[in-house]
This record gives sequence, C-alpha cells and structure tokens, in this order.
Amino acid sequence: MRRLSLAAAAAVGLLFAALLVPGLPLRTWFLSVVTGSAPSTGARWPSPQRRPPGPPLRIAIGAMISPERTFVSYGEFFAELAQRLGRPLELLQRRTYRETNDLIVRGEVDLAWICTGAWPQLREEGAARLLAVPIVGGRTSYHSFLIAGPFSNANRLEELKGKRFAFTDPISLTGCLYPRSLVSSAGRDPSAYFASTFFTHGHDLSIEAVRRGIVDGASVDSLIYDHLVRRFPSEVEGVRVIDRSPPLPIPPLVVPVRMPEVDARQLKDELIALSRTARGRSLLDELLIDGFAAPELNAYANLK
Amino acid sequence: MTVARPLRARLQLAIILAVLVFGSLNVVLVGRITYLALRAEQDRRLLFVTRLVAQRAARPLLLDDQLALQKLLDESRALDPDLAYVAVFDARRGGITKSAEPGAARWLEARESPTAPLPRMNYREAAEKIMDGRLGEVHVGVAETTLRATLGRIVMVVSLMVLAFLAAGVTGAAFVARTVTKPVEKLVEFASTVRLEGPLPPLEISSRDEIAQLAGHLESDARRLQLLHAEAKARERDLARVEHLATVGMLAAGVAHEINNPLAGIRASVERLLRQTKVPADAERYGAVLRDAISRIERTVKETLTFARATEVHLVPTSLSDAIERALGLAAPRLERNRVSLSRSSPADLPLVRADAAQLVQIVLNLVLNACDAVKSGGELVLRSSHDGHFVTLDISDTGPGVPADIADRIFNPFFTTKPRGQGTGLGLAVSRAGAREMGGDLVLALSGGRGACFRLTLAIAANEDDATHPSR
Repeated sequence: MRRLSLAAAAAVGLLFAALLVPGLPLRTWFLSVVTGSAPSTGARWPSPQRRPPGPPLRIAIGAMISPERTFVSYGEFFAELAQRLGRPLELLQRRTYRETNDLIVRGEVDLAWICTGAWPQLREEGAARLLAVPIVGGRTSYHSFLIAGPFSNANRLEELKGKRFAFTDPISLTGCLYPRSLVSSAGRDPSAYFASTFFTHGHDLSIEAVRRGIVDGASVDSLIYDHLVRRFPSEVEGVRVIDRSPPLPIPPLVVPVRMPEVDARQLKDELIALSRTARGRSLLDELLIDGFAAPELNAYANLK
Repeated sequence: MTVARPLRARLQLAIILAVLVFGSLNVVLVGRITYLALRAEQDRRLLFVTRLVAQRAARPLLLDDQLALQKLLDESRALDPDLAYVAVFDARRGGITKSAEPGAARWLEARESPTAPLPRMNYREAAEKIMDGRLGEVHVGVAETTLRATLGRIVMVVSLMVLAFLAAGVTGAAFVARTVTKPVEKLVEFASTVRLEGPLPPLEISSRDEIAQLAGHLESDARRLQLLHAEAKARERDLARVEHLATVGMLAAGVAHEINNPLAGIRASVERLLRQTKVPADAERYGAVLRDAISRIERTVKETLTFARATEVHLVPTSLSDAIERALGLAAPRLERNRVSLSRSSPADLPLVRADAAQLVQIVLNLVLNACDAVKSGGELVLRSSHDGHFVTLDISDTGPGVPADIADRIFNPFFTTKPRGQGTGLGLAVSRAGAREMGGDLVLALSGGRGACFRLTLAIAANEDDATHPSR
C-alpha cells in the first residue's frame, strides 16, 4: 500500500511535470485540447471588381471635397458615364490641385473636374481645354463664402485678423485666392494677416475645422457649403456665413489638349446626354447639379 | 508488526487522487477560461486595429498614395506585437499591400496565388471592408502561436502549483497520519506486551486527544486486571488452607468421637467409685480432680465436635431476641471481665425470623465477642433490633476504634484478621456472613471509620407457613 501511494504520487507528479516541458507531445496535445478546434485553412483574397475590357476612362477630380466624399458623391455618376462609353472607370484623386493639374499636364487623365483656381495654370501651360460646366441652381457661377464658427464672434473679415484661419488649397479660388485678394486689397499682407493658417485640402474639411473650433474662420466653396446645408445639415451646425464674394466662374470640367477633338466631343455629348436621362438626373440630383452646359469661355479667360 | 493497509498510505492515496482530479480540472478549466479570455481580448484588439486601418486606408487608396498606405499598415502592425500581418486588398486595382512578419508574408503570398494549394492557416484573422467594400478590404491576422505561448506559460504556472500542492499534500498526509498512527502503534505495543504480573510496560502518549484518553483507560484497566489476578491467586492459596483445615476438622471430629466413648466409660467409672460409701479421703479428692478433668475433656470434645461436625441447617421461625439472649448469656463472662457495658433495644412486636436457632446464636455470639475484643476495657456495646415488614435488622455497634477504611472491604475474607497471631483464626466474620446468607439474610459492615464499628445482621421475617426444613449443605 505504501508503495502504491508512492507510485501514485510519482505518476501524478510526472503527469503534471510533463505539462511543464515545452515540445512534449502530452503538453502539445493538452494545449490543443484547451484551445479547442484546430486552426482552419485561410480564405483566398476576394476577386477584384469586374471591369469591362478596353482602355479605362480616367477621370480626375480635384480635391475640392474630401477624397472619401468625392468618391461617394461623384463615383456613381462617372461610373455611369464610363458605362455609357463602354469603358472601365478609373477615378483618380490627388491631395492637391496642383497634383491634379499635373495628371492633366502629363496626359494621364481623360477628363478632370478642377477648381476654377486651378484653371489659369492649365490655361497658361496650354495643357487643357474647357469641356463643360455644371449648372447649379440654374447658374454656372458660385461664390466664396467667408465662414466663422460657433466659438468665434467675428462677423467681418477684419474681425478674423490675428485669428486662426483655414485655407483649402494654395490655388483654390474660393478657398484661398479670393480671401487673400480681399486682404491684399485692404492693403494688408495676407501672409501676416492671420495668426495661423493651414491647408485642409477640402472645403468640407475647412467647414469641419471651423465647426469644431480648430480655426476661427475659413473661406469655402458656396456650392459645397450649400450641399452640406441641404444634405448634411449637422455638418454645418453653428457655422455662420459672414461674407460672400461676387459670382465667380463655376469649377469646370476639362480635357487634355492632346485629346482628339472627336473624343472630347463624344465625351461632352455623353455627359450632357447622361444628365438628361432619368438615371443621370437622379444621380445629379444627389449632387444638387441641374445638368451640364458649354462653358462661357470669356469668364475663364480673364481669370488670373 | 506490518499493517496491511496503513493509515498514512490510505491518506496519501486519497490526497493524490484529489490532487489528480482537482489538479486536472484546475489546469483544464483555468487553461480553457484563460485561453478564451485571452482570445476574446486579442480578437477585440484585432477587430479594433482592423476597423482603424479600414477607416484610415480609404484616403491613401483614393489618392493612390502607396507610401502613406504602407506607412499606415506598418504603423498599425506595430500597435500590437501579436499582429502577424496587416494587409489591404485594393478592390479597384486588385493589388495587395501588406505589412507582415516573415512567416506571415510567405503565407500571404501563397494565399495570393490563385492556383497554389492553400497552406494550413495558423493565423486568426479579422477582415473589414473599406467603404462598403468598394475600395477593398483590410485583413489583419495574429499567429495562433502567440496565444499558445501565453497559454503555455499559464499552464506551466498552474502545473507548478499543482505539483507544489501534491508535495505539500503527501508530506502533510504523512505528518497527520504519523500523529495518529504513532500513538496507536504504542497502544498496540502496550496491549501486546502487558502481562498479568510484573511491572506495566511504559505507555507514553504525548498528545491530549481521544487516543491519549484511550491510553489512560487501557493503562488503568491493565492495572486493575493485575490486581484482580493477584487477589485470585491469594484466594486460591486461602482455599487450599480451608481444605486443609476441613481435613483437620474431620480428623478432630473422628478423634473426638473416639475419645468420647472411653471417656464416657471413665466418667461412669469415676462416678461409681465416688458414690461408694467407703472411699478413702485421698481417693475422693483424686476422684474429684479426675471428675473435673473428665468434665473439661468432655466440654472440649463437645465443642470440637460442634465446630467440626457437618451440620444441617434447619430454617424455622426463630426468635431473634431469644438468640440474642442466649448469645449474651454465653458471652457474659467475657463482657464482665472486660467491663463492657451493654444496652439493648428491641421493639415489642419484633417478628420471628427465618433461621437456624443454633447458627443464629453462633453468629450473634461471634459479633458480640468481636465487639467485646474491639472496645477493650470500659467500652460500650449497643444491640438494636428493628424490622421493616420484610426483614428484621440487628445492629451491633461498639465504641471501639472502628474498622479502617482501607481494610473495610477485606474483613469478610476468610482468614483475614487484625488480632495478634494465635488469637484469632480469621474465620469468624467469614463464617458468620456465610451463615447469614445461608439463611437468606446478610451481614454487612454498616459503619466504619474512627467512631466505632457497626455490623448489621439482616434476616428475613418468617412467613407463617414457612416452617419447612431446608437442607443447604
């Protein structure tokens, strides 16, 4: 009996001691019992989206609004356009207006929707030509809105002097060029007028910066501001428009100059035709765009 | 002495069994619970990183900013050392961008190949779509081995605890068993070595528990057994003496009988000689001396016969008062010589008792003479009779030194005497008690100690019809 108890103690001791030694089959088996089911085999990656054959229709959209919102808002409309042309869509976005311009200059896009402020550079470089302009609220013009946030008491540009201010892009007409010109025309140095400035690379982002009190004021695209007021009112809550510019030429759609005229015309025709279909209409309604029209070349020719 | 199933081994076996059962349960349950908790926690972190990357990856994907995307993946993987890989599948372009440890990278590459067989998956993965899957998917994986390593460490700690418990349990069981078995072994040793005679073997139990109590009982019982044994042996010796005396008695009776007849002749002859008219003066004087001598011899022979003769007891209604009267008559010379005053009390209606008259007289006489010897000169003796309807009681008290307590339980033993050697046989009280009991009564020492002794003779009251003779010897 004594031997039995000693043997039992040794056996139980060995059993638990075996759990201490890494690599022993007992320990491995025990751990697999504790962890439960054995690891399964992994899945394959999902397949890439199906794309029609042929060269893609490359469309660039300037960073007038955040890349995500641009993708959601304009993606479907241009996908529809590409489908009408029987080509896969390649939607290109860049962080800055200049980068988008570079795509056009290098001929890496077929169509680009740019900010009005980005146009003079393309015009001067002879890299693009105006294709069409959107009609919003029956007009082909827009404004620069000077806005202040819920944490600011400013009601005029002067009252934002020495405050924090957000620009959209260095060559954004409504988001940078216009407010700077206002300061300059008042005889002040735009670079020293505000306490601090930075570029948000999106009008919706500038509005957000103002709403959150990150800056005291900003200058934004009226089309985008109105769009948010209509579609996402919570995103402009507490934001006040304290000044507005005279009408400015609306951001145009351009094509590279090297695009054959026939292709450009086809693109323009399809764009206008799409805006007249029920599907096109409903997609444009979401963007608050009435349709597309031929640009008024004079308006853009005088821009600096 | 070997024990087939020692207590210590049984206790140890029970503890080992308990350790095996509860230890196994403990390791399995603690391991399982910890593993599940760790896995849940890791899955939470996994999901958190996956969602974070899914949110942050949209912009670099949209802006075709490969550097930013790679940076995002590298930094995200660095958030948690358990992460084996963070990979983004670009749904629009079909490419995969990843940040992975070497093993995971190989596994991901094998996964990218549409034809190669999928290797066994040793990773747990969380996936999240980027902008509803329109931009792609994020896949984040952790190696199963990270959890296993942690689990292994926990199992090791628990196993070590079980081992420690096992060691403590087995040692503790041995210790506890030892405290029980050692004293028990001592008891067994004592019980097997104790003898009826000689000194008791040592029995030292240091504990103060039930076993120590048992040892105490065992020791006192052994002592009593030895005492009883000694008494039994003494009684055996006494019995031998009694038998010897009985033989002497019979011889004496025979001798007395043989003397009696010639003695009768001698007496008759002497009487006849003395009745003759012409007896010389000298002859008459010598005849008188002879007659006296013959009388003395006759009396001696008669007493010897009385004592030694095998008598039959006749239990008949007998008057205790008469018996007392006769006994006192016989004892009167001694009482007078010792100047012992005597007082008696007896109710008028004292009923007759069931007794043999001669034996009753003998018993009372024995008690009175004993008392007389005890009180010495000038003492007092009280005889008090009473009855309770069933028994008549006679208390014989004296003013002597009394019976010491240490010999009180032995005075009725045959041959026990306190008298000087040669003066007493030690049979008086023994024979008296035996006689009393023979008659259905009893004789006890009612009072002992320093204020005199009191012997109590109890006898049954004689029923009217009870006059039969009961031979009892």
